[in-house]
Amino acid sequence: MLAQQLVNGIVISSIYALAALGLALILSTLDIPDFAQGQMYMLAAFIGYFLVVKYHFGILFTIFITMVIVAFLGVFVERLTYRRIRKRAQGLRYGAFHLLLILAAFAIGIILENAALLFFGEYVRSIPTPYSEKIYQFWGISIPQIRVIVIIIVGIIIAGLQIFITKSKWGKAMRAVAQNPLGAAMSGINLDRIFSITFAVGSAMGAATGCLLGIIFNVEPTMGFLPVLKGFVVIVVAGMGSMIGIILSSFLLGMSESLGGGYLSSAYTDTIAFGILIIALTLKPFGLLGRE
Amino acid sequence: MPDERMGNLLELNGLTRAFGGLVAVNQVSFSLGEKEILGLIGPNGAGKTTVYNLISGLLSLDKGRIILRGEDITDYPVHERVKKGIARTFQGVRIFRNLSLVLNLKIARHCRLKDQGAGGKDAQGEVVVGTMEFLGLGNLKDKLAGDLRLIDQALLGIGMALCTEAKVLLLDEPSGGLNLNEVSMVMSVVEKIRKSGTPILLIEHNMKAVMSVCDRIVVLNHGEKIAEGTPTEISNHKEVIKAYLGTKYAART
Amino acid sequence: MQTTRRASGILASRYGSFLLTTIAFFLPPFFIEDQYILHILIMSEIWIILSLSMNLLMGYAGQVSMAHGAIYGIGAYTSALLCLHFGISFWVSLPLATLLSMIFGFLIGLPSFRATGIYFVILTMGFGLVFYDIFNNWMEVTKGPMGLKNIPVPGFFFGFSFASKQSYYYLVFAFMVFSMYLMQRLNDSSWGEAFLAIREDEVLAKSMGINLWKYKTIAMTISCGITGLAGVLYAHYINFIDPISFGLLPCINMIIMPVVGSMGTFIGPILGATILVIVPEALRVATEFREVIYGFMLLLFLLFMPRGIIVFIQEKISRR
Repeated sequence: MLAQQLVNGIVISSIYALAALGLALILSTLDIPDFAQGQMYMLAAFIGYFLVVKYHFGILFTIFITMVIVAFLGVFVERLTYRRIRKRAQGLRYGAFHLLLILAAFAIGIILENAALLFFGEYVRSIPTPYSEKIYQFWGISIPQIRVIVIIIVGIIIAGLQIFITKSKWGKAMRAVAQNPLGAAMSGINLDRIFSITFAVGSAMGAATGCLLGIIFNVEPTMGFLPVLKGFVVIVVAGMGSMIGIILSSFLLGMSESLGGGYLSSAYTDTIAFGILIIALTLKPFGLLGRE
Repeated sequence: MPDERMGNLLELNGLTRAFGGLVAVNQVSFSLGEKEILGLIGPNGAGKTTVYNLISGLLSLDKGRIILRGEDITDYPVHERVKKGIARTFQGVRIFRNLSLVLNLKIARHCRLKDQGAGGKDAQGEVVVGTMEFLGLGNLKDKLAGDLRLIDQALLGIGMALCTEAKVLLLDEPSGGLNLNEVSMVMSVVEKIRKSGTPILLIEHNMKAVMSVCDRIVVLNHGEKIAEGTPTEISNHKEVIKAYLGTKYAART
Repeated sequence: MQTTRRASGILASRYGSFLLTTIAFFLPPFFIEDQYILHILIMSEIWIILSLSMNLLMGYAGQVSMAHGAIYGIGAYTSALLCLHFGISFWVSLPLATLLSMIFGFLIGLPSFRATGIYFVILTMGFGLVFYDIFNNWMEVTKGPMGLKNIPVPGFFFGFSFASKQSYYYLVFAFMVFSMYLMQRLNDSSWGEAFLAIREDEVLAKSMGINLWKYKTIAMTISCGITGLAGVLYAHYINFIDPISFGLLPCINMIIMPVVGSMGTFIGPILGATILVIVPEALRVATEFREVIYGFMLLLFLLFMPRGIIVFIQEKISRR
């Protein structure tokens, strides 16, 4: 029983990790807490659903296409809204401008979520895959094959992200901007372009998250709200900084939810997640690995 | 009550602070005596403002201790240190730009108000008025701080620090961006403050000002103290000249 | 009286706004009998109280709290439960619920104020969601999603009955005026100066000896007290409460209102609250598209009038 919970926990943890990394990317480079990513998850899940059900694309291909589409969408949103707010809010205090960004993200989220509710109704579906039937069984644990595949996909994407960030020209530019935007601009980096690229990558990660959520759980218009919050919980508990920290933090969260949900009560899983957040931040206000 | 001991007002012992892998301040120790103006100089990036941030409490120490009038204030939060008597200005003049000059000074008086709750008002208005007179800012009292000339903003910054009834004043490049006349205005204010009994730690890039006004000088480079002494000693000091490689002033003495 | 950059014109004058609002809300029940309009006005009054309380925290202590929806709920549920299960009079449950809200506000502030910026937002969001979960799942007490029904109308007070909309209107009115008065007093006090400093530049305020934690906690506690009070007024007005009214969405509303009006001014939050109660009602015509339109309006607002209506108007005036 314990082992089963642990194994379930790994799946949810990896999805949280993916979500958190996408959010962290955007937060560290653009300084935008993109709460609207939740609705990106939802859009991606819907797109993925239609690609699979109507056009019978394979899972991997679907995820890839969705990532591309949502990446473009993300850049579009960023150019239209966040960028304008950033430019207009030059004179405002740091905190005030942040507030506007958060509210803008919420506004975008409201628009997307309700538009989806209008178009798709409150229909709940799940993305079907040919891998859903097979179930591995060993040591008294059963794992549907699809979950294993999900874990593998997450691993691949994260590895890909790591390579991109450390090795590629753009990745290095992104890190430079995250550390010191002014300095980066002065050494010739085109801030606007890097912002767009970062948003594209972050949204792509969100798209993947959305599809995977749609596979494991359900596709419905309000599905994105909680996952994005949990993604931020992960980031905040980890403290901004390393990828490793975020991954560890996601596992902390995912495992606690899984174990807590299994042993205590499934209704309160969210409470457990946020309870951890509260305890962690109370002990270390800048995240477990963060510093003033 | 004046303290007759020959003791030091402010002692900094082995201040050390690193950021990630980079050591910004390394085992810096020196002390400030009563009625003294101590200059803190060094090339850009030497860690001078970081030392100020460590003293005022905006940054925490990795190692070392800070002792003010015999009291170890190393673990005190920022506002406590202000209450104990540490006051500072900021490089580039940091004031409340959207508020009036007099309000800026009133805010600096907060740490000296006995807790009077929501109804109370500062009965010590004399200090604010006195400070404005001292600095010649009286006629500007209702102007918005952000609208003042740079020299007046700089004086306001110093005035705010004074209003906290500081025992030690930490000035960070008070003459930044000012012309020659204005610089000497600031320096004469600094002298006036010293005469009235408050010792001053002074970060400055303007070498002429530093040499003329300071009693002693501490030189930092790459986060370490490389020299300490009188202005004459410092301007002939080998290490200092090396650090400032090419500075005209050392050759000028 | 402090002189600040935004002080010009009667709208910005605090006393002028206070008077204007008081008169504007005092008169309607004498002329209007339409129950629907009275309802809108009562809800406006309640949201004005909420908006003012959030403005205290945001505009003065400079923090955005996502826990206020929960505090609103704590006020509402506490008073409702005290009346329903223990037969306590509204006039006793009101101060008790308000006090409890202040206590929770203080407790939430304790860990939260050690963090800043996004960390504070997420942490308070965590609290908000934990409480929402509790409201939703603690069936024995809160009856979860089914909510609490038949919350009693306030009993007689010095011979006044509050059963009718008209009279309840004035009950809420009284508390609204009280909240405005409280804001005025805070503003003009030495606490008000400290809040201003913290809002303008925290680091500088700290370096001038202001104890940030103390003032943020004061702002949070008072803010939560008023929010809880509004919750009580809400509960005994609608006579039914359920968890949905106390989640993140109402909290976001509370944040949007001062922002739309102009944070940190006096009339800003009041104006923002009134607009944001009336607009969704007006949008009812558009039925299903309501929310989407609302989202768009919000977004457009953030893009074009980010500093709020009052500041926008003042800038236009001073350009002439």
